[in-house]
Amino acid sequence: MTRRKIVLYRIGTLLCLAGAVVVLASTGLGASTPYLRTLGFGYGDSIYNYDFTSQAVSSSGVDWATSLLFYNNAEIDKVKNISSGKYWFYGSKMNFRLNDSGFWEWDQDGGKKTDTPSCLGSTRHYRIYAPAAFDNFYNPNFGYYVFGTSHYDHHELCNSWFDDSEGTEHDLANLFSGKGYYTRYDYAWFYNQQYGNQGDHHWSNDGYATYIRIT
Amino acid sequence: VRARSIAAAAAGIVLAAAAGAASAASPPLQIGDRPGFWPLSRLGAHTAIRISEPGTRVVARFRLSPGTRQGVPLWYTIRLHTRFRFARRRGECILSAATNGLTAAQMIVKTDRRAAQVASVGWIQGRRLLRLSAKTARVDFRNYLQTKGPRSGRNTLTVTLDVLRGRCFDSLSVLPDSGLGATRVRPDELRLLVPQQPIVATAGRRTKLPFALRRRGGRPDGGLDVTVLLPEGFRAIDGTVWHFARIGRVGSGAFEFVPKTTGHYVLSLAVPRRYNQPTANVQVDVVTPRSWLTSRFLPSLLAAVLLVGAAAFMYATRKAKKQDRR
Repeated sequence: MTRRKIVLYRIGTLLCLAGAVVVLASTGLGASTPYLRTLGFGYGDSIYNYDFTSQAVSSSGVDWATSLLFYNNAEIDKVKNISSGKYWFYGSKMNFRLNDSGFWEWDQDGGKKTDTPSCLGSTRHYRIYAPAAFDNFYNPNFGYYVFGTSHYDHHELCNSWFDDSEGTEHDLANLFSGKGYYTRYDYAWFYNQQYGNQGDHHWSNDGYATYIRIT
Repeated sequence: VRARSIAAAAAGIVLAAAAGAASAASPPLQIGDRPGFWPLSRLGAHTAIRISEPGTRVVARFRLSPGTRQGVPLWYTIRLHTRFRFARRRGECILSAATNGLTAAQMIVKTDRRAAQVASVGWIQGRRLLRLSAKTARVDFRNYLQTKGPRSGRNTLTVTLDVLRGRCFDSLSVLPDSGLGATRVRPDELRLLVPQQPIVATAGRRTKLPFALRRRGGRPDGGLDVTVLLPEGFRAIDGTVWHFARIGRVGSGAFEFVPKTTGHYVLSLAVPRRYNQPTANVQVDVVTPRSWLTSRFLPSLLAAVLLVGAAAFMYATRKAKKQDRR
């Protein structure tokens, strides 16, 4: 009888603790990702250093770290066109928050992948973002430029998981460098170094973004 | 007769070759020592330059004085004036122009069977999206060069055509009144600064929208107005125009308004008809009024009660364990 009581008390303890956590989280007092922040690129241009799963700026709703900057004569379709020999399939859309002309706006992109999703295969995937409808920023420091995030999708149609944003960033750096575009791998600190596992989301980002000059 | 005509043709070829060699050997024109504009017709291209193939081509060479830097004291600009004859089919192309490989002009052209769309972004005309139903069109684009776009000594001006898919043009020409300029007007002589993060306002309550103006450069410091465009359902407290007799280096002010209904809104501020006519938008998130009691106190109280409950259960567990041992 006493053992039964102990089990019931323990269940009660757990329920109370879980309830307290839920209440605290719903009032906005919960934990947040410490690396989400805005980055400025001069002349008022700025972005968030992660893309988001929905059109809401939330440290608990980020998808991948911003790790790529294409500059000088970049435009979203032009960059995708250059990588289209290897990155040819389209992906699901994510959201990016940016400020080009004095106000914040959202852009969406599905990006490009190296293969179709499958049950046992893996595909590298990157997305590129810029002000919607114009597909690039302009300022005298960078010329025409756009931003990108990267990652690696595994077993998407079965028990999926996602990782290796750094590896895909490196793969793209090699691809563009091989095509003659001046590439500076891991050139600038974007304040989004993150490692560790969150469910099926495995972080491995060193916080440095690669700059690729498009001509 | 045949011998004469052959001799005349040969002489013509020799003269043309000599002229070509002379023009190739002649040094590029020195430009940019004073404010002005130097069209391609003065830089060696007297007729429209027809571009029929994708790729990059040099359209002009010029010289700049030793010590030339963008903005010190002159700002260098580009004008890309084009004549398009669109192909009536699906296509996406980018026409760009660069000084020394640093791109300062870009026109993104998308075509289909009915019309064409030309998008461009620059610091003189801002963002432009032209929808053109005519088969032919002239597009005039101006922008400031990149920071390292102009340099001392020899410079080149190139034009690049990228065809991303399909075909965009039956013909494409860069007109001879395209070229390079130099001006004392800064690209952002007057800057309108507004909050970068969304302003959270409560429906039915007064909210302030602060702004600041920063002036630099050589234009006269005259009077100007800052205007705010309020969305429907917003009521201004002291009007929608803020007048400055002069601003010196920095001027600041604030508009006050009362939003009526909840939602996400964008408020536009502008300085019309003065300097570089800056504009800025601010996002305002209007929320319903919430009391401190419901938003903070009650959830905190509930969490505290649950934590006390957890502690009570833990105490009861220990007590039950002790009884069990006895």
